[in-house]
Amino acid sequence: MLEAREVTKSFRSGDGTVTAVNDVTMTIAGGEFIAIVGRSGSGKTTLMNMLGALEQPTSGMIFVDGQDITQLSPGELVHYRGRKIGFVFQSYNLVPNLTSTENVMLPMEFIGVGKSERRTRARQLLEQVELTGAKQQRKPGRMSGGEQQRVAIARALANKPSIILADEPAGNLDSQTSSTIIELLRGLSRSEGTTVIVVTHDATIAYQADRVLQLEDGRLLPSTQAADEDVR
Amino acid sequence: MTAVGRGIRNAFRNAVRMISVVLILGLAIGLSFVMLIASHSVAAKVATTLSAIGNTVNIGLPGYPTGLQLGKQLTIAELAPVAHIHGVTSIDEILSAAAQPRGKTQNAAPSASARTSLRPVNLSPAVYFSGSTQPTNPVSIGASALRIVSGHAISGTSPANSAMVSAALAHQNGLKVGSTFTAYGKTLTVTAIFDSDNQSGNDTVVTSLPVLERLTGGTDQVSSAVVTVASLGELAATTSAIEHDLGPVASVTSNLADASEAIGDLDSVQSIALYSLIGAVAAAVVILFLVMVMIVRERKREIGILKAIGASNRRIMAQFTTEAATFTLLGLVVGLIAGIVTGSTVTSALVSHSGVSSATGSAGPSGAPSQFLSHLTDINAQVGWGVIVYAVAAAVIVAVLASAATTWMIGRIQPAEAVRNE
Repeated sequence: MLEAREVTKSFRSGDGTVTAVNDVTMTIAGGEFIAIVGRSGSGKTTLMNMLGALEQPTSGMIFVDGQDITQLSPGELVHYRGRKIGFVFQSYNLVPNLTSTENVMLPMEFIGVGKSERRTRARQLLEQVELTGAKQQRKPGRMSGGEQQRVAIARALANKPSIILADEPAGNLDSQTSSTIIELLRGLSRSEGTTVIVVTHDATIAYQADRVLQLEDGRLLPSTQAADEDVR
Repeated sequence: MTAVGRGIRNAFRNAVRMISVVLILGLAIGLSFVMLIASHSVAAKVATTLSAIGNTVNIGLPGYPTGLQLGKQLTIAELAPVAHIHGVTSIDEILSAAAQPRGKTQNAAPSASARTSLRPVNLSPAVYFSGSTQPTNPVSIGASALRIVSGHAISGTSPANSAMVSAALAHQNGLKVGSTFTAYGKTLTVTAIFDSDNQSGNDTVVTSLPVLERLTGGTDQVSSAVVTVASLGELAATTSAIEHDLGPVASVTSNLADASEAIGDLDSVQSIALYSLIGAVAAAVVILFLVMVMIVRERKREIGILKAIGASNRRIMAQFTTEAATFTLLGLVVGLIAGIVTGSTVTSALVSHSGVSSATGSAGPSGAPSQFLSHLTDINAQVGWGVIVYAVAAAVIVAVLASAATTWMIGRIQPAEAVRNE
């Protein structure tokens, strides 16, 4: 379970201070498929970064499985990101000189999984996202956007995280591939019990979520729960 | 694949850049390697030269520092005070004389000359005699080395008509240990055959001082003396003291003055090599540092992503340090090859343009160019394991220093930046 309590994030900008996320409180149950929507600059990505421990909130607390991640040491944060969180990015962000299999093996190497075990699991994950045969040995430069995003999803799943954070995962894909990727994430949420939080401004993606959280000027709109029902 | 494996692979990620970096690094490392070779070679030459100088002072008549002179000689009484000068450990008193071979007509009739049954080994008509209180001292025959080949060295105080002849003279005249020959109308017995390192030494017959005094009739007279000083450090002071005590009656010289001038030039070569070495290593550090800064800035997003998916700073730093080390290693190989190929040429060029060659022509104690200075420019630049170890150590320093700043940059990259750049 993931819980944010009165989370605020402010940045110094020029002479003043910009509050990107303002007093956000929310609770996400395990296995939920959540969409965070909002206009550009509404604080979606900042909120996702804080949930993924990529940056610290200015104030407030974030609990993941009962542990306040805002109080973790740098070493514990590395451990948290490596084991509890899987990231999927809009631009895939695969390491260009590594093959698909090697990209998926990376997170497992970081937590100390043996070489043969991580190779076997990487192949299984790539098959799970329907990348088989020679495609598993291709480097990102020789793959389509959809294929690269599948590799990114397989990489996010490598260490069996409890939460997957996806920032505009279909932003660079055509509508059909986009639909496939979202269906893949949704299927994972159901089959593996993984919490999936997708940041998007695409209404069709939000429509497929279990719940939609809407941000406006850094604040979570109070009508979010009702909006969820409307979207459904 | 581990961080080290990724680091090595990343070094080859951009072939054009890799080749450029390796060539530039190789040039800098090669230059530092060449300067290291030059510095070591010159240092070795200086050490050899200093050890060859020996801690001796030569005393002779003015105008005849230690060589053969006719007529007036130094007396034993004049040299007596020298033995009491601080630092003096021994005095080799030498009487020199020339003898014409049998059948040759002399142009003059010096008192110290007589006919011998010996044939000279070179075109010179003379065979030289040296009567010495230390017959095995090479300086007494104008050489820097004297080695007994067969027989036993004679005693410097022995009155017996014995002599040591060079191997060349012995061969020329069919002599061996126990053979006899005539000089000054007397029969001398060969007790030892020696070899020296120059022609004048090999043209000389060595006897004890009393024997040559008796043969030439020059009792209590010597042509020159070689004073041994306790240490090289005391050489200058002792030389001055001897000069002061003997006054104008004698010429007092040591090799130190000649050597100081020539070695001073070599020292300047060594300094140039040392500063160039430091400059080349610094250049290599700067080159690699800038390359790694460029690479880190270029892969800032990748570093952020690696952190986001669970990589620790240490692991990423290890990857980039390995990449820097790979560049350095390849540069080292190029540099070593370049250094080995050009080391000798560059060292010779540095030495020949330093003024050392002009100093080597200066006169030595016997009036001829100093034996130990005549080969001063003949520096053999050798690439020993010691030099290679130093070069590898320098390369490691290059990699570590260049990586240190890089790792600092990596540590400061926030993973959120990579995501925010989306």
